[in-house]
Amino acid sequence: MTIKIRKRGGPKETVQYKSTKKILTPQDIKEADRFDNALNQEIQEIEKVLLKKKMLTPEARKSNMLGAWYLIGTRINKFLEKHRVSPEEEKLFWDHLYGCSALISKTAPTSKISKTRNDFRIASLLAHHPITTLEKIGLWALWREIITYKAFKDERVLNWVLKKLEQSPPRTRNEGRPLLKAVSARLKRIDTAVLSDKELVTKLNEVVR
Amino acid sequence: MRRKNSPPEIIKEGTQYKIKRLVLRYAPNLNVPDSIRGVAIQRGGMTIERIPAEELVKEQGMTDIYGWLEMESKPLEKEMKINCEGPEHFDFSWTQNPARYLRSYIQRKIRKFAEDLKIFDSEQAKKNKIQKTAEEGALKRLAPQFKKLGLSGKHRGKRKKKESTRKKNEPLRLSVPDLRFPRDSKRVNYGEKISGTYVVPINEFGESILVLVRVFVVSADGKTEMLQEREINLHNGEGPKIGADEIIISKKYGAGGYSLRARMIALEEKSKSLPDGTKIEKGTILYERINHKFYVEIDPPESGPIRFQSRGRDDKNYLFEWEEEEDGYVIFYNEFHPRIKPLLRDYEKLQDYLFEQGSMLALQIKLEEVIADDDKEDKEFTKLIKAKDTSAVYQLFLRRHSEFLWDLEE
Repeated sequence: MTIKIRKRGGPKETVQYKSTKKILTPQDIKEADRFDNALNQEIQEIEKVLLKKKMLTPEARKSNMLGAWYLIGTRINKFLEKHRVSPEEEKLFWDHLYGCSALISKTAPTSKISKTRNDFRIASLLAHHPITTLEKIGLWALWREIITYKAFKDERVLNWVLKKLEQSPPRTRNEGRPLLKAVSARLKRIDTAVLSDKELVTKLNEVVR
Repeated sequence: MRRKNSPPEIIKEGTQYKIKRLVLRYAPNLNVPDSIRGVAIQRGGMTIERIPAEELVKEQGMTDIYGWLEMESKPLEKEMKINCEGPEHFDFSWTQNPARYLRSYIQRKIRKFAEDLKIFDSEQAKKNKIQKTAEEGALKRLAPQFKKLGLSGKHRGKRKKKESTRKKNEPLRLSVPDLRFPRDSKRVNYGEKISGTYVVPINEFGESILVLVRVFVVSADGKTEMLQEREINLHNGEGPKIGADEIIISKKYGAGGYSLRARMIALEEKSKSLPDGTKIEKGTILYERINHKFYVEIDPPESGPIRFQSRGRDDKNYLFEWEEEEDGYVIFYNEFHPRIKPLLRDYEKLQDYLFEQGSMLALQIKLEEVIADDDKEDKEFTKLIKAKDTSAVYQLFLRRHSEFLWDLEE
């Protein structure tokens, strides 16, 4: 599939059709236009809801970071169920979202954002967890970090970390970081899938000992 | 009037050659006097030479671009003076390095500047399907020629391929000894098969160890298909084959890229560590360096050093021209040229034409590289340059061209 990219540089808006395909047919362009229209509609809807729920101010400030991104993630996931994005074009899609709304992301990042650090993608991943779990930690910045650690893909590890964080909730991202790093370092060369719950917890407990 | 300043930067990857600044201006309706047209190359505060922008980038509107460039004194300015500056101090010899690097740098910057300003339209999207297919087909057939000439994408020219950076064999490892694809490339089509899709575990660790070996295929979207997963007590030497004898490519594989991977995990603790100091405990990943890519119903991504691009201009003198890019060359062909125009309707004819001409152009590009870099690797080219006999150039080209076509047909 093809993604229509709009760039707002200066007063003019430029449009590009990007795809991993080398040759674009008129059909590809039409589909990209259709996809782009649907996406813009969805983004406008999201903006409206965020403003109404007062999670976002008209000056583009998020008063409730985690709540706002959670909502964005949930809506995007629903959108993606209806409008499939092929894995090859996925990165283009996530990158492209930065330029779609001046309210949600006020300024597009100047440098390239890797897929793992893309806010929209992180929001989409987080939306697979219940909001109640997320609220226990509360900090969007820390969640952003948690979701990118490879070791936490094993839910048992994630749950253990969350429990520890809940016991003494960090006030800032930096306060929460040492634990995340320590766990990740301990499990760096370990395939946790072969470990029983007990074996895994023993290893994890070594971190806080 | 639009302007762009390029900050100090290295002009060629892998070198220390650096400019202080490059200032480019575009003044379309301002009759820029001839005396300040082009990009002034300054050394020690003096303009040594002006290169007209239209000489560097052969597009409409280039005459309205002008600017200047200052170099860092060491090593660029110093070497430009010693190696490349003419005795009268009003020109440079642009075929010598670092002048050649500098020229190609300015060329890239002007093109980018012009593209940003939309002075000309280089939208790939408008490309005609026939042309694109023909260009790609021609490049594919030219690949052996590029390889023979040592023109190979990012690592082309003089720079020798580094000695393998492969890590040393690890004492506990997996090997894929018999992997075979149906053709030279890593493309596989429906109904075909890849054989030897198994790994053999090897133990040179000095003691037996209980391990789990997983062999699986991962698709571009991260989906995993397990071929086999097996627990074994791995004694010294080679273990059993694990995986599948072959993968038959059925419709269940959608078109796209895949990779065959494998991983060996320890299932017991050992007192002895791995050579890199990693403690072996239950769960330790002992080896996961197996990663063989294959492509179902699509060609592997192009990574050639040269690409074709059509560009029409009503100019009798122009059939082909080429420019250096970040990691290779682009060869432009004049789609308005009466020799090329009729070919645009037939991709096979266009492909053949681009292929034959491309083979000759590749030789010219190689010659330019050899002159600039003093590359001694290709004996025939080196001899040619030493002999300073220009009448021998075309003979050598023709000979190489002929050899290449002959080998290809055989």
